[in-house]
Amino acid sequence: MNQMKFNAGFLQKPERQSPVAILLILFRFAITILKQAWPVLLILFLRPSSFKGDSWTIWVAGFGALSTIASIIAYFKFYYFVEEDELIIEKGLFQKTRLNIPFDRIQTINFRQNPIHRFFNVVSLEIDTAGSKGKEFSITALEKDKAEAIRTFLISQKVDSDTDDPEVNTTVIPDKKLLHLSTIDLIKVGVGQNHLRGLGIIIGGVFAMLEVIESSEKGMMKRIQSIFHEGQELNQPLFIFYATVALILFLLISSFFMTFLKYYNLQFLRTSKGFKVIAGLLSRREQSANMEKIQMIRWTTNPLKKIFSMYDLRLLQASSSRVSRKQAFYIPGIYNHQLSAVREAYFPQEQLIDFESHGISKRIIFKRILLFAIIPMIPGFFFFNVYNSGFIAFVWWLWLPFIIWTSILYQRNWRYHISAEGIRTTKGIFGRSHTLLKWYKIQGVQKQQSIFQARRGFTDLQFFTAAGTITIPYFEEEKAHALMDFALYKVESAREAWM
Amino acid sequence: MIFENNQIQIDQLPQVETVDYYLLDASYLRVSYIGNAIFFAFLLIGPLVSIVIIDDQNLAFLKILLPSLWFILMLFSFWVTSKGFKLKGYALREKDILYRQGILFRSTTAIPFNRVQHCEIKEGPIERFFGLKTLEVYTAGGQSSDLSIPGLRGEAAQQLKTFIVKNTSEDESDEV
Repeated sequence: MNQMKFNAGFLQKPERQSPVAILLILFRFAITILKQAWPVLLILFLRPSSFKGDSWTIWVAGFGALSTIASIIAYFKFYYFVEEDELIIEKGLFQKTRLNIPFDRIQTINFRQNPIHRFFNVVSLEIDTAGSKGKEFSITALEKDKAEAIRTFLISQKVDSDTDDPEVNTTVIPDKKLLHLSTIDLIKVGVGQNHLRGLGIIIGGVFAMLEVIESSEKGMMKRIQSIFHEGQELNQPLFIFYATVALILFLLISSFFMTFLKYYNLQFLRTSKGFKVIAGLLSRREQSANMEKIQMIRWTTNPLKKIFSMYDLRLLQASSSRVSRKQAFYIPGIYNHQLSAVREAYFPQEQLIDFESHGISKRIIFKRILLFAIIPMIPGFFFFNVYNSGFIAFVWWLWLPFIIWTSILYQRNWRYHISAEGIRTTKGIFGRSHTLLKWYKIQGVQKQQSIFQARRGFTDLQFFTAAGTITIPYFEEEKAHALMDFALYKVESAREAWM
Repeated sequence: MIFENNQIQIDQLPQVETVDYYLLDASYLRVSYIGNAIFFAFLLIGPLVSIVIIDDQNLAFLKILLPSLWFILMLFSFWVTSKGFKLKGYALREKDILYRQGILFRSTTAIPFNRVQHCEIKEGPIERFFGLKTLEVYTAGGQSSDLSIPGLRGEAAQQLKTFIVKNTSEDESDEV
């Protein structure tokens, strides 16, 4: 934190990263190739006849040698240094790339470690700037001390360019631990995960495999079909029952597995600048969020998590691209009192002052029924025999009541709460998602209405921030105008730095 | 500090709804028509190919369906373009820029100057022929809140940009 530590020459000379980077780049090559080629490789292994001759060993050796050379070149051609008030990264052999990162554009600096990183005690440094061009910068491997020094340096430089009053920042408050996920909490988080996500992956994987197998190897398809036939001969209902049980078990186990891998020993800290999270079993990730960079906070719960009165918390920060799940500052399994502390830090007094609460129009129920039930169901009348009994017909006829029910819940649960300083929205059908936004974080307001909405005097209102958008659907037009004017007034009269 | 306290204040706030909008330059309508025409010329390939290659009697209905679908879509698109042109417009206020557009989906977007990151003037090939420019206003983060105002005369675009940049930087100099 102390700026005196950095003499004038810090990072002025171009420097290379740690040599471990060669290994890591090579590792990344291998992963990329495996990801692209796994169906082909699978077929090769399933069909040993194609291994005739040693040609494949030559291929593997050739690929290996080429990737190694490429990794070494990438390492030697990668430099980083500081020039005036920018961090510069230069890389590339034939196509030279020079990336300039102005200090005052830096939004977040994160560390990431996979097992290789941890073995060599290096970290990968990732810098996010909130530019519209969607660029992110990363240095693959840096000795840990060095990475810490660079981070401290960049943050201190940024503080310099932001304020004239460095004394404010010299008082170092020690990190305070807000949350440490115990093993029991971790199990609860595992139970409360969205297990259907795993199902999607399985279905996707099976389809991808079937496609490859079918296109390349007719015999394989036949073999699989014969397995299914055997299954049918056995006892169809029993077979389906076992298959379902196996699937559910698999989903549960895979959720647990992923949870342990990602969130093992998770520590959520309040630092002098904002928040920090460290987590992971094999790959440790360390992310920090500076208080002023946090645009919105969102906490969600689902019926399973509700049993344990747990929430998932997201600190939404300004970022260049739409923040993927991987990058988002995400804390699973936070309890109410810890959540309160975070809310209080982002929005002092939020839980004490009165918010005026509003619902949205019932019209949205009809829109959802039309959009999600009636229109998608129309093909059923023409192409499928939905009048006969059968599984598809059963699902088809149940769809409409299901959508009506969920749409009613959706409308009933959608609430927005307004106060002079910020807005809080609550939505969800079975679970709940709460988002808290301070007015001055907004950077654009949009009113949008379809002609149908316009005729009835409704509109959707969108608040854009550097970390995403809040949309309030089916808003009475007059209220929307008032709120739009008010939000703009709050932004335009705001003096605080919003990011 | 509850919402009702501000109710009176809200009535006195500057209202987005009462602003007069400038329409886009008249020749932008022609730019849109040409863009539309080119798009539908490409889209015509589908129906034409279907007429040539479909032999199957059972699929013969496609020979009529696809071209007529193309025709209806084209008419619709030109209608939306001509109607929508008059609804497109922009307005400058002291502290923000407003852009309004859309016929099937009407939208009004407001970007406060103190949240603008930078501005760019762009021109496409058809626009260039008519001497028109597009002003792009960028904010931080994703693309969702970026504003793009097409159909501006060269000087108008430049003036707009200068005005926005001036107000953006003025605001920043206040803060420091």
